[in-house]
Amino acid sequence: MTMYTSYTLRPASVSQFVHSTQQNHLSTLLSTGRHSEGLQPGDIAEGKGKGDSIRMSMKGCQTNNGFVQNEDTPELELDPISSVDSPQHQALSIMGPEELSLQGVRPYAGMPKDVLFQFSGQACYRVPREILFWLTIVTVVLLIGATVAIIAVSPKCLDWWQAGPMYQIYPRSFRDSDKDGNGDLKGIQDKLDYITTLNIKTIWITSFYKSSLKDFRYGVEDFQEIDPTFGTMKDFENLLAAIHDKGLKLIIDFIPNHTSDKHPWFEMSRTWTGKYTDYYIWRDCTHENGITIPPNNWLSVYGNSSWHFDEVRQQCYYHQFLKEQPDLNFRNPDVQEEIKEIIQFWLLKGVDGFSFDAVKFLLEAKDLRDEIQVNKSQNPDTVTRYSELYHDFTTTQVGMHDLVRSFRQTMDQYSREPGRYRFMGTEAYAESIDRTMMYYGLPFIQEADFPFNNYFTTLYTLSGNIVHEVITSWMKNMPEGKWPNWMTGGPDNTRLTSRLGNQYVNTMNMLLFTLPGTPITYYGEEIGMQDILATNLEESYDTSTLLSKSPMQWDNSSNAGFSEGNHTWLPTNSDYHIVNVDVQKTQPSSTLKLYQDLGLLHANELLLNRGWFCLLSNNSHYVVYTRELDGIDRVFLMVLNFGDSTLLNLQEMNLGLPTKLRVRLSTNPASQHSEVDTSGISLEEGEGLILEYNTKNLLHQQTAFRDKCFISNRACYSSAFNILYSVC
Amino acid sequence: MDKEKKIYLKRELGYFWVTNFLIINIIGAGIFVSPKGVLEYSCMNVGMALCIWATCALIDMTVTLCFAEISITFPLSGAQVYFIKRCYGPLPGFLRLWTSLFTGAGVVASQALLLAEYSIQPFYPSCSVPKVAMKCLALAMLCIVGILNSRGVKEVTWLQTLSMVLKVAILSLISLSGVFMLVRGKKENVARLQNAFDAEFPDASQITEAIFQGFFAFSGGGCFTWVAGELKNPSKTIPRSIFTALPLVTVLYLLINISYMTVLTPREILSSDAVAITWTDKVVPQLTWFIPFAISASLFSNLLTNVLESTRGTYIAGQQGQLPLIFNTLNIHSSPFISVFLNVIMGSVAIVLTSLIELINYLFFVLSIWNVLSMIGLLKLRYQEPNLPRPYKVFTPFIFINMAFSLSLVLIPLIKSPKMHYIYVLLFLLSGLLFYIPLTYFKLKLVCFEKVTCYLQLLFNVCIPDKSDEKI
Repeated sequence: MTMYTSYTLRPASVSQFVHSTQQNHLSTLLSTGRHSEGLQPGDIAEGKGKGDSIRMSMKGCQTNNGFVQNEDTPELELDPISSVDSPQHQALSIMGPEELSLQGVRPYAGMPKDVLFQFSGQACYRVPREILFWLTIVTVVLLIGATVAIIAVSPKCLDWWQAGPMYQIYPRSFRDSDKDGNGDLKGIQDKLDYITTLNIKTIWITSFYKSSLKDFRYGVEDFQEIDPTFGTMKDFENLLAAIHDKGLKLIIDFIPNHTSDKHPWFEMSRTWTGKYTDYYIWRDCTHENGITIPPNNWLSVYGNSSWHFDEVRQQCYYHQFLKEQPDLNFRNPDVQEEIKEIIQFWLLKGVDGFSFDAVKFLLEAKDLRDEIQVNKSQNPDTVTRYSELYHDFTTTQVGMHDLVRSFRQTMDQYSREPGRYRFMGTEAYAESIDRTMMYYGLPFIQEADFPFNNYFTTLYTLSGNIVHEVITSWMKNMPEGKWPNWMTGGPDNTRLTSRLGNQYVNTMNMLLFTLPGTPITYYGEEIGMQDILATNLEESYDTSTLLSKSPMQWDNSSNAGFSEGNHTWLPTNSDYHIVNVDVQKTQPSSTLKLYQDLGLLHANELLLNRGWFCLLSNNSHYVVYTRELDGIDRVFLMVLNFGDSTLLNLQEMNLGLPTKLRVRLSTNPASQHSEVDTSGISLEEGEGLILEYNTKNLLHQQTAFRDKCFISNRACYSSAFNILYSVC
Repeated sequence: MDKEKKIYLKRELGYFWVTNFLIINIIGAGIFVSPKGVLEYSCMNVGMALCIWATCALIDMTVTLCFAEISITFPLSGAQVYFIKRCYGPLPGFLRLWTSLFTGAGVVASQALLLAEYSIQPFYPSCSVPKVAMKCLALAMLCIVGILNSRGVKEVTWLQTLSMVLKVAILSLISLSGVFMLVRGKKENVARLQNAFDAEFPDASQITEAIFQGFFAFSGGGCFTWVAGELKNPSKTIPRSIFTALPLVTVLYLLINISYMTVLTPREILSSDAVAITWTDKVVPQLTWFIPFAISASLFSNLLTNVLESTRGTYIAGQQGQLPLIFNTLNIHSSPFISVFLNVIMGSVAIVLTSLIELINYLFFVLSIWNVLSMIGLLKLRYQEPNLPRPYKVFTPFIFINMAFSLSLVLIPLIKSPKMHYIYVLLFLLSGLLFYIPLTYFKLKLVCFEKVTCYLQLLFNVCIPDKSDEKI
């Protein structure tokens, strides 16, 4: 049995004194029939028989009459353990005359076992001891049960790419460490401390592969080398180690669709060398007097035919972008294998994920059918602009998603280690929302963790309705259980300030951090940088895409602290004296300060990173929505004004709001930490407020709001245990 | 369980048990998790890192042998406490006990939490384990370990053996497959070790730091001092066990490091949160989920032996009259139940209020001071009582090595990062006086004290031990 109960021996000789009394108790016991497994019959007899065990134990040490009246010979025989454990002859041997003399002894502090065992077997000690022991056992079982229960009800936890914002860096413009006017990897490493002050979780560095093109973006010459402008592979490894040391993650661009025409594969392919012959998409075409008649009417994204005649191979190759960027032939298994190896190469280096660029162009129709003109009456010879065709045969071909899924599978092999999940994002710009959502994969086949949501980056006018439209179209179309994301800028788009105006920078950042999902910030948006002017650019290549890539504005020194060199590859914006990190760090009402506060709020508030999102109301001016979570009786209510100044009456919405709401954060420094009146909130142009109030009636529980509320990964919070649980 | 069975801490633990005990104590979770410390401070110089591991093993050997002399000369349970008392008098003896009372609870609590974390973490692949779940499991484990410990030493020997076998088996699996890969001679694997010393060399301060890092993986070698009173023929058993366990552990550590370095690049080792898991992921990906459980199973035996150790100190103090008499009691399994109880309760409190563990961690700094004092004591005793029977005498320079090493463990953190915490720790240590002066020094005896002792004895069925009739 238990470790405590095995000692049930009592001096039989002593017991004989009380034979008669005990008999009565025993019979009482037997008649009540309370035999329990844990206790021996005698125990209960004693417990019952004494009637008042509390009184007994109080007297226990002094009067010590307890054991006299309780002991009994029959009990010894009834006791199964003592009769098994102690041979009879030993029990008998105790009954010597000297044992008899112990009769008058009382228990005292520091008893040896001879004294102790006479008393400790008594019910008043043994029963509590038993109870304590079993209580301990029960507690252990309960504790283990509780652990199992907590594990069982825990919702899927947020992975690193869900837990915090991403920060997209264009490496040539972030920070120059070697005075050559070009930003580099070491420069990024130098500024990691700054990045941590933004409460960023993931750093996203756009393409830095060895490349000959002037904007160092597309046209990779070697996917396994760093372009010398940015540094060496050693620099990259150091940067990655430093990023991981800070607990941050790194994702990088990957451009599988095409390579540079200087890539060794292309050099070998144009000379019909071995397996490389079919690495690119080659077709016979007629080329006479410098005029090529292409195999079909397909157009490059930048205009004109996407076919180019190669003098060496005497064939045309297909290029979706520039003629220096021939498309890889993804129908060739060797090419797929090469790409897989490159993915593995970077994963082995320890990169935490990829942003796959231009994946919709991976495959083209095999039969090279002509694409259909948008305007059928147009003369086919004048169709040169990309927008003049429907691209049904060059984008999103059958099999393209299978390729992307195979990338995912490769990455999964490196994701098994806990906490080392490799993230996959796909760039699916200029796609319809349905096609974009395809990248989330199917219920049983995983694909991208999310396609990057760039719908905000292409807005040139703002209003409450437009913002509402962008949000609902993503939230309504997103497959269930998937994770949203929001970007306000990127290297391919005009910066937010230049597109929409300076007054909306703070509101857009507030929007980014209070929507459900991962916020993605393009470098410089956190201080409200704007595009540079197009004049006097030295670069000749597609100047329009360069304007949003101007050097990061760090401080007031020359070149905005971006470089200590004499010149920079792009001029710094002339506003850098006002718009820079150093100045804004100290201003309490700066864009940067608000950005940091928003990041902190996002990181610390369950409501923002896991809560329900309920889109309540919108008009041409403002958008109103809440974030709430079961189990937390606090709600965040966001009021963001994207139109002219207006007066908002929240009470009209019948949300059951209190008359006053606390302001948690505001784009207007004056209203910080104050309260607003729900019946009349006056909003300036581009003003945003995060309001907070307490309530028990959460909106998502009400039928009226059911279809306006969204959640990706449902969880409820228990404040008593400080845990999240999913069964609710 | 008959009445005739004597109740005292029996000398029944032999060579096998002690070797077992040593191995369990030395190999904790560290080698599975963070051999990166050494590698990092040796500037990712693989060859240098291996040399540092070997150095640590040698230092550990000298340290352990010094403690062997103490526990062979005074083969008592809790010999360390007794030794301080013997050398410096009752007050330092009490303070030594006072320290280990809290560090014991701290170790137990943090190990239970670590164990719980490793067993729960696989269910939370990408986020941290909920604190409540961790605490629940840690408390449960501590209770189980408490119950097992109160069943006496012998009863749980099989469990310890099982756990030791598991521990050594996993380590051997990792080491041997590493060696196999090296022998098979795949280019990528061999290349990493071929030019082992090519990387830059660390400077002196980095080497010291690396040695400290490595030494932590070896700490726990002196554990037998706590159970010296229960060893059969300690003067033979202790040295024999040391010379079995330490070389075994050293070889395992070196091989496992070679294996890590064969499979993983130094960078990968540095960036990994748990190297054993990264390693398994590379070599046998199917088993990745299993490693965390193996680590927690391995920690379970550490927990078991740690509770055992820290209870001996309390028990012996009860005997020496430094703690209330009640601590000098044994239950029928000859286990100092009240000491186990106290240790488990204190550990549980520390688990519930996790911040306590951080405070207790600072107390480890005091342990190094005690080590220095023990070494001085060894020398002092050799001078004062040259005729004391010493079946084993450690080579004198070893004492100085140990002293220097412990001293640097005290001084370097003090000089490098002087914090207020160290003053708090000293104040805390002196708070032991509040108990010592009235209760032990003036032998203040309260009536209720007697009563409580009496009740506790009756309630928990614990008695003053019988006189031992065994010879050492």
